[in-house]
Amino acid sequence: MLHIGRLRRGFRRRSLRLVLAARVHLRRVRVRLRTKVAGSSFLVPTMITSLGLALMASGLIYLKHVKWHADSEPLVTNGTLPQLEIAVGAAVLGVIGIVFSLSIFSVQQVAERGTAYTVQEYARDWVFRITYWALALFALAAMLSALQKKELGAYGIYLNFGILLASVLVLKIYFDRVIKFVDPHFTISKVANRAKILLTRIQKVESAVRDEIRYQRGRRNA
Amino acid sequence: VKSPPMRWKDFRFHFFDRNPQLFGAFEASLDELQGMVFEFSQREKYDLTRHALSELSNLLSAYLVARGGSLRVPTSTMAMFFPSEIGFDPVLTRQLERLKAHAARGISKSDQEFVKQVTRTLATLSLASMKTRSYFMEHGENSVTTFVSVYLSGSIEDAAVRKLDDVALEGADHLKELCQALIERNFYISALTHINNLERLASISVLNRSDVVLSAAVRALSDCLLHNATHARPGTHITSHLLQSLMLVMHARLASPLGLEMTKVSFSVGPFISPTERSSFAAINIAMVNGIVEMTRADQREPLSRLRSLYEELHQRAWLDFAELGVEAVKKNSFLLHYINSTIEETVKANFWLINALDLPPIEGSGWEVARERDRLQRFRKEVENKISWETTGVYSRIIPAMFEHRQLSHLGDTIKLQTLFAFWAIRSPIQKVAIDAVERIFKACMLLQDPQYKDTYASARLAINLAQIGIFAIAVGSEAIFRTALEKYGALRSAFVERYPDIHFVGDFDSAELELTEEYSQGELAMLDPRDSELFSTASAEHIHAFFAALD
Repeated sequence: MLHIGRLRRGFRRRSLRLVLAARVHLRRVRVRLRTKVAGSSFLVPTMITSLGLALMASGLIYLKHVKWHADSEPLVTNGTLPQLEIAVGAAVLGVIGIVFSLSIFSVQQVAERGTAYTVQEYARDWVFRITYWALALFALAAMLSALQKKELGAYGIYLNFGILLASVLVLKIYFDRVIKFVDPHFTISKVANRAKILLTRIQKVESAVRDEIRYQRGRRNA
Repeated sequence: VKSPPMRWKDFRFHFFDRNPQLFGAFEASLDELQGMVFEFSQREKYDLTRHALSELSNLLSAYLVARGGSLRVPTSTMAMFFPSEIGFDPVLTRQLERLKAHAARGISKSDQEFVKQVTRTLATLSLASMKTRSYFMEHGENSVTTFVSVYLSGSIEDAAVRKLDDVALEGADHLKELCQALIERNFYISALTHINNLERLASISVLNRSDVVLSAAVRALSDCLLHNATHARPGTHITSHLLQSLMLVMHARLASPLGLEMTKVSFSVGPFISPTERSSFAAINIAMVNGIVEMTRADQREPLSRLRSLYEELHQRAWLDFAELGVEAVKKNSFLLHYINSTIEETVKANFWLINALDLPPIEGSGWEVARERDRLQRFRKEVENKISWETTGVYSRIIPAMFEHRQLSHLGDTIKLQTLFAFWAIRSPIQKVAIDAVERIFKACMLLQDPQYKDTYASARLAINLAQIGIFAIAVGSEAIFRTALEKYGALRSAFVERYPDIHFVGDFDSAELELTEEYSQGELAMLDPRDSELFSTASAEHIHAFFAALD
């Protein structure tokens, strides 16, 4: 019995040591990856650009192999569809102009009701940034679709309708966000949540340091 | 020689201490919230300031918990001996300083709502800080709580000085809750600091002539005393410290030019001195006495020992404090004396009840533990007898002479009645010395009253009836020695009175005393309304009355 108990304790000790080593190594990999990603300022944009190019290339290849839709061809030939697509692109650009001009009013409102920190939070908000870039991308896509071959006319129609629907959705999200920002309670909660996340991150650092020390000590003792 | 590896606790402390940049982003977020509090408070948007302050309080509480055991907050000893060498946790200090600045700004603008919000935040933070400990530890103290609460009490005091009564009232509650929590966790050094803070708040309210705030501060101190009686460990000196603070406050209030008339007593120092209040001295004593008796009957030795120690601590100096306060009340001719009398009456009554309740059959069994408990019980009974003696003779041998010295005799009648009641209880218990001392005090007072300088010819004869009542009670109970003493003193008083005023006859004189008592006895239940008469007539009969006066002739 005594022997079995000793064996069990030994097994447990070894397994715990293995789990600890695995955790430390995993964390090291994650930290290394994170520091490298955060360290190079060009890596993320390069990745996004290359991803976009790859998507575009694959789209073109795909379009080449698809058959023309007979009904859309005359529309492309007589210029109706490209004009429509250009109009959609222009409209989206107009939307960008109007939305972000009107944003100035909401910023003003926020600045009046809130504080300098509220405006900072407004400028820092990721939803606003994504909205802007999404609308810009839609405008560009609509314009580009006007330059398509006549065989791809049907896809142009699908794309433009998709853009219109997505624009409505994005504008709804944008509107909701602005409304939230007008209420200073939202900004206060936002700052507090960020602080909570930061505190959790410090605790993670602490636990990583502790594991590292335990691991190093265990290795030295072994 | 290989040095031992650094402990994780030390390593953690140094890790955080040498890497303050770790908290940079977190602190920036806190600063943003502080900035919002500032901006919104300027515009008096209280719902927003409340929200921002509650988020700040949550974040700082989480920070304190996360940094538990690694916070750089020196203990009081370290702060005393090495004040300039050890710093404080920078993040916490900066945030507390900003909160203090908010409070100071609010106070300067008399913005009570905002200051209340800030003090509430500091109070929440102080309570949360009890869950954490500093890297530097000391027995009986949580230096983090002491550090945070300094800001709290400072803000409350500043507000009280500026006569922001709402803040002071809420502040007294915050300090009380904090003090009670410290007592529960046995951080007695920190608790003593808070008792001082409450005493200071009470003193400020006396200086400001604000009885409302004084009442809140006194209630807070009394509640802490009650809490200490139920939760604390003995030997921490919290009880004596609290009593000392309460007495100081009452002396200060008595010296105030506002005066302490009938209604003002209960609305200022009433929470401690009025026996009907839940945490008054008398109520605490009754609760403690009940606890002791219950524990003795159930033979629960550990809590019993704790309660006995607390009881002794409560009564250690109380008699002298009450005597000094009573003398001061006599000098000022204050109605406070009436409350002191009531408190002492209830206290002594409970103590007599305790003595009788502890008169249990001896504990059976053998062994050193049983013998020790038997000895402790006997010693404790003896101790209670001593306390009764001090709280009757000790107190009134000072107060009654002071009444004659300062010629303030408005409460003399009630005080003499109380002495009679003490004598009755003492005869029944029996503690002869207390009864004889009471007889002596009544006799001396009546003799002095015969002096024409006091301008009350009738009072001596009317009050002498108390001696007759003690004698009658002694006959009924069968206490020969006390009967003889009472008889002798009553006879001496009568002779002296007749010698001084031979031709004076009035209602209640020595000749009509027997008739008066017999009539009162025949009134039956009507006489039972007064506690003294109730005690007398429930024991003695018309025959006993007659026997006393017959023995006199």
